[in-house]
Amino acid sequence: MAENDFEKMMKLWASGSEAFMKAQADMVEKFGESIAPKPKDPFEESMEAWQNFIKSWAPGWDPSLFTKPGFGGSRDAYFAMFDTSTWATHAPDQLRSIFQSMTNIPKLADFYNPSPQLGAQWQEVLDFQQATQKFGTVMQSAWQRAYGRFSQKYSLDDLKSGDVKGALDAWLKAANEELLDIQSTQAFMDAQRAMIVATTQLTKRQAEWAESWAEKLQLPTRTEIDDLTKTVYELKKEIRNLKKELKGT
Amino acid sequence: MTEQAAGKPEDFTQAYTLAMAHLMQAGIESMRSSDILGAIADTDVEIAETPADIIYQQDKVTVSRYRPLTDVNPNIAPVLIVYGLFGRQTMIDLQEDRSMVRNLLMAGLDVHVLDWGNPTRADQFITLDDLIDIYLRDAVVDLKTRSGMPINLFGICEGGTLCASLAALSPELLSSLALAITPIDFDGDPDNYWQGEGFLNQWLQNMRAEDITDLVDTHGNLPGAFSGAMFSALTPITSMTKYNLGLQALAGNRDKILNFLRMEKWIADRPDHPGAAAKQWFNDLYRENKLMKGAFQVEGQTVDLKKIKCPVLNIYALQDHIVPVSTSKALSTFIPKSRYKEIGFPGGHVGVFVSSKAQGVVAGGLVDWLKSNQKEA
Repeated sequence: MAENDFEKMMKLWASGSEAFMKAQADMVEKFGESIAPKPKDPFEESMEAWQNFIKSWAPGWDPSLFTKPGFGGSRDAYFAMFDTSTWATHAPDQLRSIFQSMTNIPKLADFYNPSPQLGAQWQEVLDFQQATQKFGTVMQSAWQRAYGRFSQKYSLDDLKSGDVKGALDAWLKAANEELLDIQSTQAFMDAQRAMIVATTQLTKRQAEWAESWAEKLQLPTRTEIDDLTKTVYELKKEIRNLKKELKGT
Repeated sequence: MTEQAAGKPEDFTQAYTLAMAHLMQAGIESMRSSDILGAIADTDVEIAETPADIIYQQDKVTVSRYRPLTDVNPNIAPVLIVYGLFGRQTMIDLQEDRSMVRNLLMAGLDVHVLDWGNPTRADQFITLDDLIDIYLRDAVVDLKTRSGMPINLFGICEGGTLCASLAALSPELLSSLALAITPIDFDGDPDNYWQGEGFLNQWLQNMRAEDITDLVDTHGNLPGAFSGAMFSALTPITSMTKYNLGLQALAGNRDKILNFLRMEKWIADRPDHPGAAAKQWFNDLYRENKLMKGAFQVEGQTVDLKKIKCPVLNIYALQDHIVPVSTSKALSTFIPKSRYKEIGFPGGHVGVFVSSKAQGVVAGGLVDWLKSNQKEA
């Protein structure tokens, strides 16, 4: 066998083995994937989760917008992400879990970390947005029913008679009855309660921030003034009782 | 609009023309009202003008004696009027021709009014116990000492509940007790409410005690703006239309516009309610109905309404959407019939004082009742 022929044969054998091994590897890989999917790159995975999260409340969001001049066509979607009023609608549960994880960070004595407070505040904003939305939905149902009733009773033919005032009165009557009706329902009262509670929590949080600023600026805080007021109130009451006792004796 | 309403184009044109004509007419009426409104300054809108002098003061609470408008009947003990803290006592003297105070003065009564003042955060710890057992009691004792006889106490709305409590705790102070639009049974009769009646009772009973405590504690007091918003929500369409359709309907009538503005001035002057007292008012009374159940305590003493010993007049408004009739009428279960009288006024919560009809029915009824008590005594 000439050397050339031997080399050719060896090459053929090598490439054959390689093809076999590759086919074998492909087959093993496919088999492996079918019973246990290959783990994704952690970075890729978190990016994907992030994109899904963003898209859940800003569906028009295009991840490649930064590569396009002037934010491309996704500019509005980009800014919509920062519009907090849309968050509660599209991704309340995801947001809540993020805020929850911020709030639950253990306290470290010598490390200032404002994120628990911020997390709690954002949860309260979310509660407020959801409460407002729910209240709006309840009220909207009443307005819709009022309009339904009115439009069944009044048509353009009726208006041709010139009785516009009659139509207006009928509209107000329908609206009034539907609004009064809904205001005694459990759905309304629960929505109203949730809104009052959420507003209270936000106001309380504002007061907390105001207090921390007041402290930093060496100003008396509301808590300190309330403490003083309570002391004065109690002292006055005590003096009043003593005076009455003295008068009695 | 129904499909039928979509109709032919000429139908639409005809309706449109008519609608425009109506709009024009409405516009003219609105402009007339606007003209008058534009010419009225805040100083032109005067309320509570009947002259009075402060005769007693404790902290922010004052008692004023109205100057007599005629000879005072010496046989009738002085009358002390006590309003609630959710509004101002100026309601009883809103304008000259619709003033309960003037009607009482013209009948020869010696009329006094208690003013709770303007609570601020410094007053947030004042409780219902303080309002009843310190401020109200001391004012009544002072007037009793001045006149040398038990007085006639006239409580209105929340003020009525406070007066009834004092009457039960210290019956010796009073010659008679008159109440108007006063809640006693805060549960009322929800199965028989008419549409729009008893919202406050239902809404507050739906809240949890900690919601109310949290709300009040956050602000210190119960803000007047908050209670104002709650009252507006009770009559949604009226509240939404009063500054547009309501004003337009007045069609430039100066007297009617001034009446409207006087009422607005009264509504705008809504004080904050002392926080601790507001929590008790809502939680102990509205939510737990303690007064009716005989569980309401003032400075450790149980308020038993059966201990009221004087004659009682109970005035309620048949169309009262804030204090349902059933919540007021419950007082009759505590007072023997021989000492109990009712006047059911055909009007709303505020109408009891400001409507022209009320001047005869309510003020007249009160005067007649006081005079008849005097004869019996």
